[in-house]
Amino acid sequence: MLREWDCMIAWICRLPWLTLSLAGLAIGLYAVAGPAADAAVYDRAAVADGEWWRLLSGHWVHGDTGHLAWNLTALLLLGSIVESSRRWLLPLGLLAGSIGVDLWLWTGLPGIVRYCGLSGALNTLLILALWTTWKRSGHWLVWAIGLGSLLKILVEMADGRALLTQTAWPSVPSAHLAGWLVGCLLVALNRWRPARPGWA
Amino acid sequence: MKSTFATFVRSALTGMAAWVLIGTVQAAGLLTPSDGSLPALTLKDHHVDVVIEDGYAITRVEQVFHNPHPRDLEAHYSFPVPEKGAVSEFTLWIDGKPVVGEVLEKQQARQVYEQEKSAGRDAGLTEQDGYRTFDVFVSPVRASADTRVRLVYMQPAHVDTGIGRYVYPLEEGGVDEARLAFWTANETVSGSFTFNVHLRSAYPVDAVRIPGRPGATVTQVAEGEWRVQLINQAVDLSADASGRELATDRAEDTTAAVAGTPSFRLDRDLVVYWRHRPGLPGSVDLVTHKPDANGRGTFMMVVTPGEDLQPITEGRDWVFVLDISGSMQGKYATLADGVQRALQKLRAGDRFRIILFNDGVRELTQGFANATAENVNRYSQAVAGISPGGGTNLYRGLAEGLDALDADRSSGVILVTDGVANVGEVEHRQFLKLIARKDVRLFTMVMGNSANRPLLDAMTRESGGFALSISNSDDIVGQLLTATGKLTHEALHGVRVSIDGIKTADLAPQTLGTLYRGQQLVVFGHYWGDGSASVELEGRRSGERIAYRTQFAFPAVSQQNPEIERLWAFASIEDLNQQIADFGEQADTRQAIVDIATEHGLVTDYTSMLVVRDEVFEQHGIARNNRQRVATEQAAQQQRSQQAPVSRRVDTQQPMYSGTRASHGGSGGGSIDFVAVLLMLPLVWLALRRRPMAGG
Repeated sequence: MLREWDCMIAWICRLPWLTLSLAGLAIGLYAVAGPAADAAVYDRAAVADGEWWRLLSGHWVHGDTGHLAWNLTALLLLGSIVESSRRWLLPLGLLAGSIGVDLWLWTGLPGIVRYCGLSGALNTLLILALWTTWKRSGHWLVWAIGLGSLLKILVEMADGRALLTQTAWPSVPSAHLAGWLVGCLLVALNRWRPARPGWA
Repeated sequence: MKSTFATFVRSALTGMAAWVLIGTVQAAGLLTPSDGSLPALTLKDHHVDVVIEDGYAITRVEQVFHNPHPRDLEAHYSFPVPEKGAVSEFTLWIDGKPVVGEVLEKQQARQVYEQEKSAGRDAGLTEQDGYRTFDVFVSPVRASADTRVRLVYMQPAHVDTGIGRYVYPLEEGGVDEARLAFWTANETVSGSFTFNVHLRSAYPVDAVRIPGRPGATVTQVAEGEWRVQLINQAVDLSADASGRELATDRAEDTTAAVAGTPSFRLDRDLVVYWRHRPGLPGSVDLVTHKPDANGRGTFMMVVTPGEDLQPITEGRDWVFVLDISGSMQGKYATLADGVQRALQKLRAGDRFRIILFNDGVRELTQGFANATAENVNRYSQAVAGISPGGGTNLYRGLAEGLDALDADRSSGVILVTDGVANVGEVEHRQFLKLIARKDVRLFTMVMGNSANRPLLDAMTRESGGFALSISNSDDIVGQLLTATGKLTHEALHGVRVSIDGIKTADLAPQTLGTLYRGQQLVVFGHYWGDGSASVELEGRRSGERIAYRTQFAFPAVSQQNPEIERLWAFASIEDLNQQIADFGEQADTRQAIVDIATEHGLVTDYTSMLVVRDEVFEQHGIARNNRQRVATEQAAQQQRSQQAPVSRRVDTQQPMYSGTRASHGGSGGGSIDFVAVLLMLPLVWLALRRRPMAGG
């Protein structure tokens, strides 16, 4: 009985609480403010007017339930992997990914005046998850997944839209590439920095 | 050093003097003579309800004036003329009952009003002062009592580049110095202020905004229906010192009033934007009113073009002609901000000149400057550092701008002004002659309220350009995006519309001119009979003739939008006013305006709306046409409010355009999909293989 209780506590302690909390935040925002909450989305004109919070909050609101569901699925999968490796790597990846996507939207996509959704930053998280898994397993599948994800983004960019999703707000594949590249940059920075304890 | 200091002191004093002058009357409000000969009344409550649907907005303003003094007084409320706004109802509560006003020729209305005022009987009058203000007079506001009035005006509410814009104008334009000096405005609402906008759109709207008003709430109440609400209930200054008595005579006001809440000042415009979902198709919408199958019908046709105007890629020259006169004092910061952002939007290969005018004219640049980052930064700072002052020699400024063009390059002149010419040549027709001398497009940014829009509209139309209104409360970035989209794309020139298969007449506007990227084409007219009609829109695009066609039916009977009749009348009067401005006032043109305005119940430069007791209307033989019209409109509005927004699109079967509408750019949302999740699953498997998540 006692052993079962210990197992239960250990199981609870090993749950990816940060990932679950962030998923809860996205669900809560959707439940309270509704789809693509106007006060929170990335809105180019509003940002220019000084509403800077939109650069972060825009990534945590979603255009419809399908949009939310797919992104949450990816967050739970990738977040769990990254968090189980280094907890602080999860907020770092999401923050860096968000900033990278914002920079791309602002400088490279002036035609996109409004944007919402986490998928750009999730591509940063994907690279971090691949990196931490490679460090642990050294399995060739990691490279295959990385190349597959890049290929998918490039095909979508060539086509100008997402392959299989149809959300209320059309997909922006180049924002995915921006997030993907930010992930690569973080990995590269870690590899090239002076010898100190690594991420994984 | 000394001269720099002297310049600084002079600028500071000039600025302070202008500020003091403007401080006397710089907003909508109750006016009192500045010499203190009459005591001031209190603006107790101010409630604004706006309904935007079917391509037009109806604004209903209900106010309560309070007289805290021991003698009867006259109330004089003034507010800026809304863009294309037509006052259609003025109601005064007499003995607790609402009495709807009737439209008479201006002098006659004033005469009856003065008679009633002299006799001490209740009367009200709404007059228009040109392009500047609407003025509401009520006499008497009884000693220590309240008087309630309601004013309703209508205006087209169309969408440009996917963005709709509604402005409730409050900020006085500061364009009339004599008025500024004579009157003092009390623009403070001491009791409750509410501003409610109900947007009803059959086209999907994905966002609604009211910039600069953090206290406002924006709610989507149903598919295609949004509400904007701003409530401010303040302590009634006329109540006891403890501030416990609050002005809350509207049952629907739900926000709790708090003692000490600041009163509301009518000194800043309220601007509401709505954005249509990107990717909507080009379309033709038809709104009609035809109560009798055998009679005359009225229609409003709105064409929203699909995007087929190509971008212009060659380098161009831009001449910015900027008004730095005293009347721009309150708007200059917005002007400087807008010019800076506009310069930043110039492309490599573009060149620009900046010409400034007030009493005189001078060029800020020395000839054309290339649109490099260094030049843009340098001249942006120079524009921002200028202190406006002096008179307005608009003619010389514009002439200088037109002369500055290089004939070998594609060019445009951007005039930023409130259009109040008061130095040198001020004759409307001379401005049109000046514009006609050069083959160049004039684009005008009309700054603030009470701007001389008739003159600026006429000049831009003559040159084939466009005019864009800018309020201090506007989202300047958004307005510039709208303007930029037009300047960087081809336009459809010499636009004409023909309707065959059904009898139509009295089309307004008579000249359609040029259609720029994102603009809608709005045509009003009369029709007889019913059935299918072929509609063709044609124009020249890059010198080539192009035509768009569709076919749809005009209904035999329709009674849902009686307001269309007033909007047709207003558009027709605008055409007639244009004739007067171009060729001088002719007796028959003036009479035509009076006839149309009195039949349709509109306040114009030649007609006013009068309210007197019912028996006085009878004594003067004044027919109650407007009362009947208002009742019909209210019944239709009530009926429309009980149903979901109705699509007025008529070209669904045979679309006029194959492409989607122009928009500022889309909304985007990154989404992970099924394939991406499939790719992640092996990764999860790899991660779990080494470090399973669950215990055991």
